Amino acid sequence: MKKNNFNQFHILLFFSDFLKTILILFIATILAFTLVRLSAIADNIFSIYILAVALISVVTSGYIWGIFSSFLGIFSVNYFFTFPYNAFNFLLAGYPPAFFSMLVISTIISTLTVKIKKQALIFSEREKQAESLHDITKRLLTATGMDNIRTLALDYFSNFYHCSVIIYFGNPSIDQNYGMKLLTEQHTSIFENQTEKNAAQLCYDTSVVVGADTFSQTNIKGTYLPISTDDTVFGVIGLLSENEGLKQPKTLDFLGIMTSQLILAIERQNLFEKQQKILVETEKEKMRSNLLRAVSHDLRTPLTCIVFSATTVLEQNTALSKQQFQKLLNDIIQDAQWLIHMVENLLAVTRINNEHAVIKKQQEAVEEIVAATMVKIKKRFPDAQIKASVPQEFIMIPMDATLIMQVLINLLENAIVHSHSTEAILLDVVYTEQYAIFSIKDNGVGLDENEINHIFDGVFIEKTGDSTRGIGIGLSICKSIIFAHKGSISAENNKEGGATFRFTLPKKGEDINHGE
Amino acid sequence: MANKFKVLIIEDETAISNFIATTLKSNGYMVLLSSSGKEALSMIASHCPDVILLDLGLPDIDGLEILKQLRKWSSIPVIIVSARVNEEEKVEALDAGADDYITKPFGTSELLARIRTAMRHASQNNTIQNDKFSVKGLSIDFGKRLVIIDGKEIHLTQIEFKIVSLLAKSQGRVLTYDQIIAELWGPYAVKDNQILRVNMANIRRKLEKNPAEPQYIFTEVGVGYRMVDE
Repeated sequence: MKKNNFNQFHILLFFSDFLKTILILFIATILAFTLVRLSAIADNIFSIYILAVALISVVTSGYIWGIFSSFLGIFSVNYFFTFPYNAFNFLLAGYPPAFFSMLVISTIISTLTVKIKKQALIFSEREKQAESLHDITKRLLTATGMDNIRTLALDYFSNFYHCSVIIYFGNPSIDQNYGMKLLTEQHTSIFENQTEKNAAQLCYDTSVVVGADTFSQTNIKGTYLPISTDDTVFGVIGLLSENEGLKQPKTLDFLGIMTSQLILAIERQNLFEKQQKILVETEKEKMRSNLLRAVSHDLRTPLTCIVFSATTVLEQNTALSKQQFQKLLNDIIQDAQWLIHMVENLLAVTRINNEHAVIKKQQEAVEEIVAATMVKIKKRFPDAQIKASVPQEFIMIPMDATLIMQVLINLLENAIVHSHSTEAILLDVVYTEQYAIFSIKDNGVGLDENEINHIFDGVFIEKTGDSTRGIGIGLSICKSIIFAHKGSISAENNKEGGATFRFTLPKKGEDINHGE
Repeated sequence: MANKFKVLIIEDETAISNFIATTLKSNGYMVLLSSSGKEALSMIASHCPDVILLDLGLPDIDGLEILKQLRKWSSIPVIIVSARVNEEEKVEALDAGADDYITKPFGTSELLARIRTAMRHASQNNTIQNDKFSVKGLSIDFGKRLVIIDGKEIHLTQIEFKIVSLLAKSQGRVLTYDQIIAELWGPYAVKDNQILRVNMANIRRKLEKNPAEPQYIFTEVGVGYRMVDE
């Protein structure tokens, strides 16, 4: 099919060039006749024909038509405009030199035009390459994620060379991480053929071009280029095409340039991922060290109190009044309960840290979570005034219930202990299109404006001392939990006094039931 | 009291079992202690306790295994004492036939209430069920299918009434999602608790003044539901 098309195209081109030549010569002849009639001087006739030859060289392809037309021109001049008219006579005086010079001039002109045309073609090709290179560079620069980078590269290679492309990231046979863009479906089976895979592997291992054009293994159909710098091989690009253009060294050079752009993008992506990982690690490390500090500092105090109170009760029990006795025992209970709470926070942290911050989410009813939290908090603070309300609408949200309850308990405890107010704390939930927003509002003393921005960082415990023990760590745990749920958390002072803590949870988690 | 109730505590941490034993003795129970699974199984057979408190983390046999073996021949009420926060484990134990669970740390009053509830249900199993139920302002007439709160009749759908009366009949005890589903839709029903929870939400809106602070039906997150006990 393709061969036929090709021939047809050539025949068409031949005829159109032939017609152009005849037409221009015809016009030149008429022009010459007119000139002769008007001025009766035949001296300019040659120049008219040379002009015609030049024109023909420009509008047709190749040398042939220029030379052909210069012959034809000379015959016409001889036939029409030199004596004897309407007959050939090449032996006229001075005719051979004129004939010869005209031939040389027209040949030179046609050669030159052809050369210029060729150069123009090369320039336009170069321009196209530069343009697409610029384009791919620009696009690769903004692409994020290895898969996006690969898709972009696949599109470009495939469009630019009109061929099927396969790109392996990593070791072809070990990582098996590849993507394809195909011109025809049959190419899938070719790419997945063991010979081709071996070729890709060889390319990866030796980091040299392997394929049909390297003559080393002639039964390979594709061309495989390493995506590599001096010391690292990132992967392999395989190209598969029916036309022969791919095998030219120039094409391979340009491929190399495109590939180096691809490498830049890959390296940038790798760096970005590494940085992200480090960021997460440091964040975790920060939390862990904060926690350790809080544990060593905060756990010691209540433990000391418990030991002291219990010893006093044991040793001095005859000397104590009934009231003192009761007070000491109450202190023990208070401190022990605080310790339990702290241990629950620690458990929450291990629950997040265990699975690389991937938490096990399940669909939970918001109102059930709120209700269960209320039961728990009332057990610990029977006298606390808390008013909870939930929307009439019933929805379920993916979450780790234990952790979210821990957040609510921490925030409520914070409000109870630190607001220094006896007015009721309001626990409220509203739903927006995408989020459930939980808010805990108190009417107490409010927050220190300077600390609001750092309140969830867990770093200000030391400044404020024992009176707020554990709260910093409690809030920083809240932040970790909410972040692990892809929600947000904030704190602010109310206009009418007191503080409001607010956190959001996305209504739809993208990874329900397949979070490891 | 001549006829003291016998409670068997199966727990390997002596500090915990001592404290429970002291509390129970001072409340008029007779206490048996066992620190390993094998010993416990033989003690159950020889002493026939009225209630068993079972810790799931034992050194020799898994607590769950003891429960399964016991349930082959006896319906003695078993309360799971669990230090773990793992809901799945609680659910597994409840579905394997445990009557209730209590999570460490717990208070004395909570423990005593659970024991009383467990024993009450054990004795009820052998007698005719009451036709009427009432707690706080809520009363249910099973025969007439009536639910009344503070003197006002509440209209429940068929399914809603079934759920409420099921919880009422096991008052004070937690029922897992699967137990409720099996009871309502049969043992082969799809174990998808979504429908149940939507029904519960509707019940809550009909029975409770504030769904965020229920008075009658409590949620045990990740486990199931419990009807309030006195």
